[in-house]
Amino acid sequence: MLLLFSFTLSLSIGSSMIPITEVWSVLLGKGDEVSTAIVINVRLPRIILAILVGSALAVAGAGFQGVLRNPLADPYILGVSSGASFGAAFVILFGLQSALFGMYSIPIVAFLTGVLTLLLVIKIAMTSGQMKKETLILSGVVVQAFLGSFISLMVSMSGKAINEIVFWMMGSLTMRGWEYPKIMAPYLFIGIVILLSQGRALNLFTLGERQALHLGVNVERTKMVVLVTSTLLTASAVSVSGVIGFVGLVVPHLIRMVVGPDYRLIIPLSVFGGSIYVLWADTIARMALMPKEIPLGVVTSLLGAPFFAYLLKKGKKGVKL
Amino acid sequence: MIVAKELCKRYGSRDILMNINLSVQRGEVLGVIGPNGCGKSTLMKLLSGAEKPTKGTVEINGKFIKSYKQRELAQTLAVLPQEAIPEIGFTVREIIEMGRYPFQNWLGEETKNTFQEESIVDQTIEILALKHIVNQTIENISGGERQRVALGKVMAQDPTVLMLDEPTTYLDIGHQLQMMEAVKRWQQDKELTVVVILHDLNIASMYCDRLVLMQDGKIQTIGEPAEVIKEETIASVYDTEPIVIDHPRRTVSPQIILDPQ
Amino acid sequence: MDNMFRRIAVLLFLFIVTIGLVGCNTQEENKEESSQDQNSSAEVEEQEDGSQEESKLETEYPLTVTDATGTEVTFDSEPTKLVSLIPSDTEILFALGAGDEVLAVDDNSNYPEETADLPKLGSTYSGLNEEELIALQPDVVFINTQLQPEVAAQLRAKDIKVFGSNPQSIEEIMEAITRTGTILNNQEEAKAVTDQMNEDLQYVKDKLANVEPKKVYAEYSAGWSFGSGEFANDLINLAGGENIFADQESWFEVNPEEVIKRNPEVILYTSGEEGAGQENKEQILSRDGWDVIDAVKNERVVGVNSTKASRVGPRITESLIEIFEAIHPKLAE
Repeated sequence: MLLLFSFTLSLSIGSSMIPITEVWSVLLGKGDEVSTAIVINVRLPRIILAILVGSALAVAGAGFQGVLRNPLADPYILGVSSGASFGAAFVILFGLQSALFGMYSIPIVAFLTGVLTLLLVIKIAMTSGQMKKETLILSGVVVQAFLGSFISLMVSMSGKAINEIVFWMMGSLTMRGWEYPKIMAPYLFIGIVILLSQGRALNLFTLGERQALHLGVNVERTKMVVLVTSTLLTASAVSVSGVIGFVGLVVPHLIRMVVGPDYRLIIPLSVFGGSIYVLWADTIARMALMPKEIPLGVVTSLLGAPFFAYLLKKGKKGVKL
Repeated sequence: MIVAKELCKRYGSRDILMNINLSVQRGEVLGVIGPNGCGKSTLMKLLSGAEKPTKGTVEINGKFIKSYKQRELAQTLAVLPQEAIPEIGFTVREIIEMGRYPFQNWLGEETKNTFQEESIVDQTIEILALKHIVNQTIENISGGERQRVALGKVMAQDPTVLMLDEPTTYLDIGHQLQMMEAVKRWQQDKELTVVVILHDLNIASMYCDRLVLMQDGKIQTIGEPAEVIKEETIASVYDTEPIVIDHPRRTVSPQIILDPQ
Repeated sequence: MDNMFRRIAVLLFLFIVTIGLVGCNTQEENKEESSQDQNSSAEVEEQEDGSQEESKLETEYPLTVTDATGTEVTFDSEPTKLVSLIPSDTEILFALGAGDEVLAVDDNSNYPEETADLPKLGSTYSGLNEEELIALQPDVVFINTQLQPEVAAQLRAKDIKVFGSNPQSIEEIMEAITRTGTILNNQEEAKAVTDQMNEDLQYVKDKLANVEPKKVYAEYSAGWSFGSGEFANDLINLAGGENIFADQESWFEVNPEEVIKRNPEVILYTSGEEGAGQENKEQILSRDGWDVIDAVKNERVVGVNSTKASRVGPRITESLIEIFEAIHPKLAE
């Protein structure tokens, strides 16, 4: 309901002031040419992409939090964003934006490097067929720091006043058109279904891995499925939008505070929560300084950080985090 | 029924368990006792399939444990670990329902017979007298109640083999006995095969059919309580000299009185 | 988490700095600086007057010139060991025929071709190699005070003679060329260069007499454009165009809805040397929703050499003609 409301409202407001009645007549196929182009081909795909990216990040955040049993885990904790940023920075620095895979060079390379980073992290963390979550988080931190220094190096090497690498990393949903949401939607759907099916297992994970094991959960396999699925979701979101912070951390957290610890609820509700969060953040990003854009990652963090601080403060008194 | 043959476990270059052979009959309660570091918990990890032995085999109900699928094993074997249930925000009822996991499909529906789940969970709540707190979260109940919830989760699993790792630790004597009585009633009711690690030798003596006394990764003695709880045996294993007396009201449960010099 | 916070903080900082740099500088400081430029050029002219009696233009040393940082720079004799830390000044030095006196340049100086063989001293963004610069013992180092606001003070603290310029218009670029010619005692060459530039300017002006400006959207990189107060905006105006975002200031990421709404007649994008960047054109033409824009309908999407357009050097009028031809192809025939 809230999502539907946000969707309609966000569609109706935009930097080009098109009256709501006009938006509706466009949707009914009666608008003039310019309004139709703006609403149908610019605003609508962007809103849909915001919904997709938001739900991917939030649901991946829920997955990471569940499997690492750490409410502070976010989709970037295992270095996926650093990996994707590394790939994107590489493409931008060497001017390969169109050379490798046409206009999709950055997203494809970012996606691949994001996924490769996770594999590297798992490889480092894996000892005799098992992954300890502490080792996993630590190796994520290590890989992240390592890639981070490379990214800084590339930013300094690019030597431009308007640094495309920096702005890519700050995240944006502008100029994406219909192709991106079309490509992303099916994978997102599959990913969400897989994570939904793991909700009950993730509940048992809260008891500890050994107890989960004795209740019939194939612990290592579940960990792998959830980690890989969450990573793919994160990487696909990051590759189309850049690094959008705090969604994957705050949204599942907030949902947990409202509905309790049950992942059978947290995962589907994170889909909606993430959608709404990013949709509104992006609406602010395109509206606040119009006709200028604000980097989306800046908006989500600007909103997310104080909100998160508030949750932490409040959480200390009542609800257990 | 549990059969362990020539079990060995080695971590790095340290031998934790050496050549353990034992079998537990259906409906039997086997207590595992021994000083800290003797390998009790490792033995339980091997018997329950949480870890693989370096050498040797474990059979549960006539089938090698390594050939069970995780879910299939959980339908037969339940484990009550030593650690208390962490503060995770679930309610008592939700935690007990978790015991039904191995019997549910991925949508959370019972795969055997649907009507059974409700009755097992409800029965468990009834038996363990948890009805008044079913909707409380785990954070808000007492230590004794928490341990009963942990037992409830295991009971909901409806196993034929049960393993308990020091179920009475952290409990006062009243709750210790309450806990052991609950386990015993359930065990007799369902004819469960039970392996239980116990620190308290007097409780072990009263509730177990047989005891395994372990020392340095090996079985020191195995037999009925009266054969194991002997002054000289205890003295040699625990490095203290207690007094062993007969229980004034029971015939087969020798009791220990500590007597530090 | 920590990492996350830090990254966001850094990015936010960079963002603000970028906006701030481009924005504030152009608005306030530049007014001061450009008036200083005029002062200094006035001085130069006085001296020119003095020497113009002779048939060949000769500079008399010692020569004192005030640069864009407001510092009086004195040359006791003709400087012959030159370093340029900014591509536009490098181009000026070579255009004035002083190329063989240039000892070293910055990493971004890549025109003319001869620069390829010169030692490179880093760049303002990735750090300058000050040690090597000092070791060269140059007579003067040329910098741009807008793009390199701290470099002058840094190098002067190490007793290196720095001459900063900061031209904000084609006229000021020509003044800067004249001034540099005076400093180097290459006044004849400077006159030849500025004469050609004046000719280019006049050509465009003549063509555009009584012509209505066309609406132009200029894209620096996907989704990035600029408003008034930017040199590029002035270039578009001179070339007979009107930036659709002239109501904005400095560089910014545009909202694509607004581009559609403002319906430009011509879209300019940046291309490299030799027409590279064709894929940018295809990308612009294929953007969802942009098909209703006049420029896209009529395929008036044209690449502009970004290096020429962004360097305040002798090739700026070539760039002006290029942009003029892009906006008014029929007039250019």
